[in-house]
Order: sequence, then structure tokens, then C-alpha cells
Amino acid sequence: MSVLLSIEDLHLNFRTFWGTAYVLDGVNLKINRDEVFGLVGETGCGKSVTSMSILRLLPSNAELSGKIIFEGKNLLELSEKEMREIRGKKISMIFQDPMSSLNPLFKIKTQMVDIIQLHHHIDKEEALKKAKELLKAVNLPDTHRILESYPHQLSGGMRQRIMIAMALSFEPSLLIADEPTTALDVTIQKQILNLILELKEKYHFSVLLITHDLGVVAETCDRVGVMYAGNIVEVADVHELFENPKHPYTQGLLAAIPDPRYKKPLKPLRGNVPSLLNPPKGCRFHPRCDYAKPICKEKKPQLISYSENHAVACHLFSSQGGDIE
Amino acid sequence: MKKEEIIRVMKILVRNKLSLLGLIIIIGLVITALFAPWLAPYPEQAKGEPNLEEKLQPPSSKHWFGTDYMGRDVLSRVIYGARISLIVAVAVVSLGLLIGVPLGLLAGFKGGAVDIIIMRITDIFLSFPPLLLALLISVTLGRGLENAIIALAVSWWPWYTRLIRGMAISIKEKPYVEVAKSLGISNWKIIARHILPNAISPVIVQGTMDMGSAILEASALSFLGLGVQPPTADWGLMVSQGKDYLLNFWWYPTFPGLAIFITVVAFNLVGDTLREILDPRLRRRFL
Amino acid sequence: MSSEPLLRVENLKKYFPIKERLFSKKVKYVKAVDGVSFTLQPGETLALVGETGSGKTTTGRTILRLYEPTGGKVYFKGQEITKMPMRKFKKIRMKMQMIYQDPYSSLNPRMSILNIIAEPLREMKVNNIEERVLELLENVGLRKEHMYKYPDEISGGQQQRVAIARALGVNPEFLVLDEPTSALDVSVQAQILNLLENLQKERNFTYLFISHDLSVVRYISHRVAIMYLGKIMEIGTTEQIFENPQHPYTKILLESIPIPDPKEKRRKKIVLPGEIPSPLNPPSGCPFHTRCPYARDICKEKEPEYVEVEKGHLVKCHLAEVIK
Repeated sequence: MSVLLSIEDLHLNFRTFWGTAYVLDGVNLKINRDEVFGLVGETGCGKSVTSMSILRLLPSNAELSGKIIFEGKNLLELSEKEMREIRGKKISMIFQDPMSSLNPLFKIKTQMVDIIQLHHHIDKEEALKKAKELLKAVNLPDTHRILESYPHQLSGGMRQRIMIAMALSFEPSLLIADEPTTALDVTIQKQILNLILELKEKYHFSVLLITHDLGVVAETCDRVGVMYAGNIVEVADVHELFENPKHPYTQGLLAAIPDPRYKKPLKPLRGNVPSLLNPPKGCRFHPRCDYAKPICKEKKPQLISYSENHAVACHLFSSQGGDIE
Repeated sequence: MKKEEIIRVMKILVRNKLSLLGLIIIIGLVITALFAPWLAPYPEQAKGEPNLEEKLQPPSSKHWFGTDYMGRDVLSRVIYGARISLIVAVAVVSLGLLIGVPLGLLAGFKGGAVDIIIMRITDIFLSFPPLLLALLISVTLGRGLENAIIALAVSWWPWYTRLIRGMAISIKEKPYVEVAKSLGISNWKIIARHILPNAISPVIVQGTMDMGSAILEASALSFLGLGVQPPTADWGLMVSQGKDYLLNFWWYPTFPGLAIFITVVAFNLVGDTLREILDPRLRRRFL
Repeated sequence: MSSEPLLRVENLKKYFPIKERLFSKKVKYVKAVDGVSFTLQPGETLALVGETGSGKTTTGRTILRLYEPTGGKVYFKGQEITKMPMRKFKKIRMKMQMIYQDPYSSLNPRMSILNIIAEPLREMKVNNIEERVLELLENVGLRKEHMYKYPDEISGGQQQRVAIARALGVNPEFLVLDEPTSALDVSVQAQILNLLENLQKERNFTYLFISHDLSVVRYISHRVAIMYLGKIMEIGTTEQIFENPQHPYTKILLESIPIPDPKEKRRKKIVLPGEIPSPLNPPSGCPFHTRCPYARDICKEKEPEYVEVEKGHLVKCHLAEVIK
């Protein structure tokens, strides 16, 4: 399997009114070609800003350092013009709320044709033809009606399909999907996730799926990275992660979510997510960890391979592979 | 106010240097008004005593802003004029708030017929150009400072009523108001504790900016001979009297005019930043 | 459970009038709640489950008379409350509290936590308010230090705890929980669910739990009602609904839930086509027939009656009749 995207030691700080927020604290991850990589975590863990860093769509008060190697190029060293070639063409993105990415004042037709013409140098007729093809690809067969509609006349699920269609217009090699189904009902969520997987098989792109929903991860992803307070704490094959979670945070998350198949007791994680303005020293999870040792308060654990397709950043596993007692 | 909040406000002010300047100007204005008798080089002339030997003198070391057609020191009169201007600003806006805010709260919270009646009344007031309305009232009531203040306040309150009504309508739909109702809290207490504190910020911002406009409009009334009467030192009046001398004795209307201009700008600068300070997403505890 | 139900809802209806066009006189109705009936025993949790536009939240709000019902009756402890004069209803209303989806919006941002919780207590002329507030805070797992904070200074989970503490202050018996955890992170969601469950055990609270999240529903509720376009399609105990779902909609809804176990990935599942129709133009007959994989001609014409497939397990489907 060849690596498509590799993020190395990515640090991101935001200079804010209240001080500097240390939002990403040395993130390392690799996304292979043709895989669905899930990035899970709670609000403020840094999963969305990681994706915005990849596209270099960050506000002006951001300080970014590290490497983001995509198809052999370090994205952080590209000029803004080169970056525009990457965005949309090589890496596409869809968001939680498709309404906010569509202009409410223009018909779908106008918006799709504009986007298609932006990069493909073709005339309007051809662009329209291409738009229709794309809509069919995302299972919106009633293309004429859709193209003549304004965004508000369509349902949330349809809008998300249109966003996917637009994201696909250049056959990207990476699709970043940031909570693409969070605003949708479960039955529609199922449709959209299935659609993404189908299209992935057909067009051979990789997916970076950002979500807080472990159920969605289990059902769609090949590999998973768990984020906590700006760090990747565990990366593993999806089966491995759910069957054999190593990091106390991952274990805690899995114990805290209800299972629709049966009633099991829920074990909530104690405490709250720390402030990134003043994050805990050492391992950022230590104040909430039941297994914290003195070293956890002082030294930040590195992400270390535990087995072939499983890495964990925790002092309990830093020297040898051993289970939490 | 907690220490950290004072620091927060200071930070906002330092970042918005212009509004800090505005604030300094306003504070300076207040000090000037309070200590006018000590600050003015010729307090007697400021109160109206003529000094005909020195009439229409250009600015000099003796009279920094020159003298007017009765030889009075323009600087002294501008300093005393700050008193009138501040009184007008504070009185007009507070009177406007006093009438406008309760009516707006009532209209927004009660809705229905109460709302319709109150809003139609504001519509009537708002359908006149404000200065024209103030002028009409002023003419009816007669000349003088008090009447000018009343006239301006009467033409002013409907703006606050509208503003706060809109806020009240959106806030009364908030879950916390719904909860208060379900907990058996009376309507008056809901208005006082839940609606008013959450609705007032934009009105305070507007009120601050309006202080500048109130000074401007009061000056306009004075200019037209309806507000403050001579020999009281008032900026508008001074501009009015000085306008005929502008070509040959530029300092006479220019300095009071500048005073009006700077004050109006200062209030606007501060108002803009107040919006940020009072922003409910940043901190909501200044009231 | 043969005792007097705490809450009995009979054929509840809430229609919202809307004008089709700006100047048209013709008024249409959105039938947000269209003939909902159920009972709630003391100490029981009934979950109202449905997708956006199913009318689950409107049902909760209409029971509390936050919306005046268009038709039907609601009995609280045997007393009919829908037609009761507001002044009289206010006293009963104290016994019925609501917890909102967005905890922040249910707390006045300009009041301290102390004042938020103390407000109804002062109204009730409680002595030693601060002590009582502290006690309530401890009941929901907060400490004295939270008392002087403001809503924006505490986390979402803590905000929800404050909202619950405020409700506890008036000793309610019935709580409408409107998606109380859907705005919270998963680790915090479990804290709030456990808190609600413990409070129910301690105080015999009755919950109407409104949710779209079937995993949470499975965890917290005793009985479940599945709603679609303003109507209850199926109602039964949590076991009946999850283990033996009868209505095609329930079945598909259950299959759509993402399961946190990758081993389930390979199982082929039915994907429900289409989307929920507009409640402005609900389909004829069975409202679900436009998306139902088993729909027959009769489904388009005749609205099905409820069929009791098991004791307490009602299904509104023509197919269930056939099965029986």
C-alpha cells in the first residue's frame, strides 16, 4: 500500500485574545491510497483543524509548523497559487452543513457549472453535461429539477449529495469529509455513507472521515486515528481498535457509548476536555486517566508501534507491549 | 467587576486604539465640564460679560482661540460650552431611554394589541424627520435649554423602543424564558431579570453613539435660535453666531465647530468598541 | 402497572396554520402532531423517537402547553389539563419540567449559577437559599465553586447539570427531556444519562425522552414510541421494539443505526430510500407507504389501525394485521 498523505510532527497554535492556544501538539499520521481513514475525537480535540491545515485554510492568527507530504510534495512549502491547484482538484472537502457551502442566491446549476469551469477549460454546454453526470453518480437522477433548484428547496441529504458531486468534479485523490452526516437523520446518514463508500470504489480516492461518532467509524473506516486535545493518541486498523483498544482514552470512549444492540452499563469518563490555552503538562490526558503514573505528568508520550497495524501514545506501552492491568 | 474583566476591557481598548482615544476625549470633556471655572482663562466672559475693546481678535497667546464679536474669549466659552453639551447629551439620551425602553419591552414581551398600539405610535413619531419633529416641539414649547432637551428626547425615544422591542421578541422565545414561565415567575420579574439584561446591550451602544448626535442636534436647535439662549456659552449657538464672520474671522465659528465634531466622533468611537465589550459571546457581566 | 397513569395522552393534535403564498387567503395546516395517544406510569421512561419533522418535539411541547393543542386531551394524575384555565394550570405546570437540547440557551447568560437555581426557590419562599442551592448542585454532581460562575464559564455537560438542578428545585414529577444529550460529547453524554437514571431511581421521576438517537434510547427508556409524520407508528416496551420490531419503518430505522463494532460491517442492511415527506402534504393512507419496501395497494388508500401484536405492543401497519 502506498502512502498518499503523510503528516509529520504538525504543530498548530492560535494566537488568541486570551493567550496562545496549543491546538495541535505534534500530530503524526499517514493516509494510504484507496483507504478510508477515520479521525475521531470530541469537540476541540483538533480533528477539524487538522483537515483545515491540510488544505491550508486557516485564519490569519494561526501558526503552523511541521510537514504535510501529499503525493511527494510538502504542502506547507507550496505557494498560494500552487495550493489553489491542490484544493478542489487533488483534495476536495465536504462539510457538516452543506447549506453553508452553497450560495443561497444561486441555482444549483450556476454553482455547479461555475465550479466545473473553474478548473476544466470547457464551455458551458459541456460543463452542464458534466454536472448532470455527476448528479447521476451521486444518485440524484432527477437532474433537471435539481439543477433548476435553489439550495433551500432541497433537503439536507440532497444538498450533501450535491456537495459530494461538486467535490468529485476533478476526481480528487483525497476526499476530506468533516462530520458529513452529523446534521442528518440516521436513515439519510446511512444513504450518504454508503454513497461515499460506493464512489470511493468507483473513483479510487482516499477518504479522511472526521467524526465524533464511533458507530460511523466502525461501519465505514479501514483505519482509525483517535485524537485527544491536539494529539493522536492511538492509530489502528478498525477491527484492532475496537477489539483491542490500548490507550486509556480510547477504552474510556468505547465504555462511554451506548450500544443499540443491548443495554450495557455506561462508564463515563470523568472530568472534562482540558483548555488548550493551558493544556496539562506531559500527557494531556493524565488528569482524567485512571492509570496515570508520575511520568505521565512530566513527559509527553510518543506514538509508538504496538503491533504491525497498531500504534499508541501512552507511557504504559512506551517500553514494551504490555496490557493495562 | 472582577480584576480579570477589567484587564479584558483594557485589552480591548488598547487593541482598538481609536476608541481609547475616544474614551480619553470623553473623559477630558467631563473633566473640562466639571472644572470649567478653574480651566477657563476668562470665566466671567464665558458667562457672558462683554469685553468690547478686544472684539474679534485672532488667536494669540492671550486668547488662544481668539475672541468673538463681543470680545469674549472663545476658548473660555468653548470650555463652558462643554457643560451644556454634556448635560444635553446625558439628559436627552437618558430621557429617551426612560420612555423608550419600558415601552419597547412591553410591546415586545406582550405582543398582540399592546404591541400594535405602541408600535403605531412610534411609527407616527418616526415618520417625521427627527430634527423637524424636534423643531416643531421646540417651537411649541418655547425657547430654552430644558425645552430643547424635552423636544429632542420626544423625537428620540421611538428608536430605542424599536430596538429593544426587536431584542425582546427574540429573547422571549429563548428556552430560559420558557423555563422561568414554567417555574411560576411573574411576567414583571421575567421582564426585569431575563429580558431586560439580555436586551439592553445594543441599546447602550446606540445610546452612547446617540450622545454625540444629541449634541449635534441640540447645536442645530441652538443654531436656529431655539435651544440655549445667549449669552450662555453653547457650541451650537457660537457656530450660529460665528457663521457670518467665517470669512474674515475664521476662528470664531471654527473652534466651537471643531469641539462639536470631535465630541461626536469620540462618542461614536467608544460606542463601536462598547459593542465588542458587551458582546454576550465574550463576556456578559457588565450590567 | 395497573395503577393510575401519571400522564395520559389521548388523540393529541397540533396543527400549525400556514399561508401557502404571501397574499393568499387559503390556509393550509402542517399536521405536526396528528392523533398521538399513550400513557406514562409513574417512574417510567417513554422514549419518543423519530426523524426531523416527525413531530416528536412538538408532541412534548404540546403536552406542556407550550403550544396550545388543536385537539385531544392530556390528563396529568387524572386531571384534564388541556382545557384548564392558565392560572390553574400554572400550579400543575411546576410539576412538569423540561430539559432542553441546548443547555446554554436554557440558562440566562447574565445570571450566576446561584441565581439561576435560586430564582424559583425564592419564589417558593424557601429558607436558607444558599444551602438549598448547594444541596441541589451536589445532587447533580457539581460543587460549591460552581455556584458563583456564569453559564459561559462552565462546560456543556455542567450547563446541563445546572438546568437539571434548577428543575429539581421545584420537586417535579414529570420531566420532558428534549434530546438532553445530543449537543454533548460522547464522554459527557454518559455522565448525564447516568445522572438522569439515578435521579429517576431516587425520586421516582417520570420521563418523556425525546430523541433521534436509538442507542441512547435503548439505554435509558423502558418503553419506546416510534413516530413518523406526526403519528406513532409503533409503541411497545424497549425489548419489544428492539428485539421484535413489527413496523417496516422501525425495522429500517434500527438497521440504520451505526453500530460501534466493525464486525457488523459485513452484514448487508436495507437502506431506506428517499426522505421523510413534507408534513404539509402528507401521503394518503399510511404515511410511510412512499418509502416502504413492502407497500401494497391498500397502504396507499387506507390508513391502518393500531394492531396489538403482543400485550402493550401496538403497530400501525396493514401488514401487521395480515400477520395476525
